[in-house]
Amino acid sequence: MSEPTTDWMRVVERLVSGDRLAFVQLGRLVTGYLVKLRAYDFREDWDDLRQEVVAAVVANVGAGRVRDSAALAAYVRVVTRNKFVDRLKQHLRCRADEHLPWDDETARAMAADEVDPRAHDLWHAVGDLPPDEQRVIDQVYRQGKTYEEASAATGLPLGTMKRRLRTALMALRLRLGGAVR
Amino acid sequence: MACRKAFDLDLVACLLDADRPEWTDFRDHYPRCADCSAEVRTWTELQASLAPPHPSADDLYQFEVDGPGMRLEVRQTILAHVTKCRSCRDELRALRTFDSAALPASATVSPAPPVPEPRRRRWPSLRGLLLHPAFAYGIALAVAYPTIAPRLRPIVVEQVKALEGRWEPPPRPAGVGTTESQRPGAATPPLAAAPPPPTALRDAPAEEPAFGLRADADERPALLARRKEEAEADLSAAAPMVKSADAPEERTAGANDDWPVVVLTANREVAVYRPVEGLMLRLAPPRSLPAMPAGLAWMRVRDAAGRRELREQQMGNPGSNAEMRIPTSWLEPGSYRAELVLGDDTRPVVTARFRIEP
Repeated sequence: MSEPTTDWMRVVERLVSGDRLAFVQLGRLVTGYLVKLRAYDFREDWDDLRQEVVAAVVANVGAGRVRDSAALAAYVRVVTRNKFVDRLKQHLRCRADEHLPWDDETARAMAADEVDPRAHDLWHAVGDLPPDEQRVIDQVYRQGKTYEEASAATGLPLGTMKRRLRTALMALRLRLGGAVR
Repeated sequence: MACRKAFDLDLVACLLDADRPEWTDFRDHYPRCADCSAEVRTWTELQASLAPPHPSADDLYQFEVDGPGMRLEVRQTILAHVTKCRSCRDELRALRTFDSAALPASATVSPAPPVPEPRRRRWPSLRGLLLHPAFAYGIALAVAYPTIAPRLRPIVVEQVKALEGRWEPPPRPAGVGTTESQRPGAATPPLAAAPPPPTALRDAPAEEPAFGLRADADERPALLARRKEEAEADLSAAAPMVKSADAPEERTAGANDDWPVVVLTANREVAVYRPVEGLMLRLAPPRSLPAMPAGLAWMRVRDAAGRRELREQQMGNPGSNAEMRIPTSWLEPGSYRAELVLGDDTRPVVTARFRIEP
């Protein structure tokens, strides 16, 4: 994500003047945060969320409430999270003021560095896995195949392929310093 | 660790394909469960680290508007990615339906508006001033001044000399509220940089008028203008922070919304004119505590002497700014410290300073 170097105020200016590329850029920023929020669970809401966030950003910049690029990126991050949490609570039929443990986790996720420096090491670590596991990781994550497609491509039965994937991910998670039970 | 749901199911499969109906129960469960929430976040970060990079926004846009014009291998790479990647397909679909006319009607990006005046309701205040009996006394004094000033001057000069021999202004903390007139080497203008006299001096009734009469009559407007400029400069300098911290607080609308918002930062003192009704103070938590649990944090404001204190429990979302409304009746002119403390810990995690100008 190019957040630290992008002039987001300029992007919004271009968006307001009808530049569709600016729309993609701002949408990409929102999407990046939705991924961090594990908003996959509410995938059907992404379009609405993105539109709501973009509209809020444009309105607030227009009203002069957001003035600089860094503030704008921070604003997008917070508004995206707020709107996602609101929607999540709606789905879960929670009160708006109820505190969910997931709120804390989303705050941690958003506070994490944009690019996790461990990610680079992770792909190196994949190279240390047994060949079968490497193939499965490659098929699923690098090539983005479904379980069924990966199973067909590797020639492993579906159940075996899933076990290999799980074992490989456990090993990678240990590499990241997480506890695995 | 009490809940083991995240360990008892195939979490990897669940996270890879969360839409499947068999995960519905877990999807409803984990946001409410601290153990499973933490587990899901960790796995999400792991998967995000492994996920292939998306095409850049430029490439995706180019792919949409002029795909055939792209180099064949680039186009094929993007096509292969888009076929697998739901996010990028969503983005392409949104791009096709983008209509700039649907953006908020008032969305013309304007240059940053001027910093709002620290004092509101200037005209009602002015009217109140004009109707006040003290104003009439002031006019009478101004008319009589040419007559009585020559008689008072020798007395005043003596008193001023006596005072100058006894009192030196206390040193200001470096970097706090520094103005041009207070930098080393700059001449200190009369009254402008003079902090309040020490209590002992203030208590001496015979000497106090000396300060009031020391400045020439035509110096006072200049002094007021300078102090106003200083206060505005402080606010202007803080403005980007005000906005950056202000903007995310979309959900804090409530009572007293028209009270001026003052965003405090840990490393500078902000000067504010005494408000008409009250102030809303806003203080960002430190970056090291982004997930400060709601209810654990308290914001407190103390006067410089530490004699008066207001505290308020912060119930906002983790990581959101601490806020506190302070009525004008509590805000005497002077310096204050705003602090964020956790639970019973007496040591603040953030301290900021502000000054109320009369």
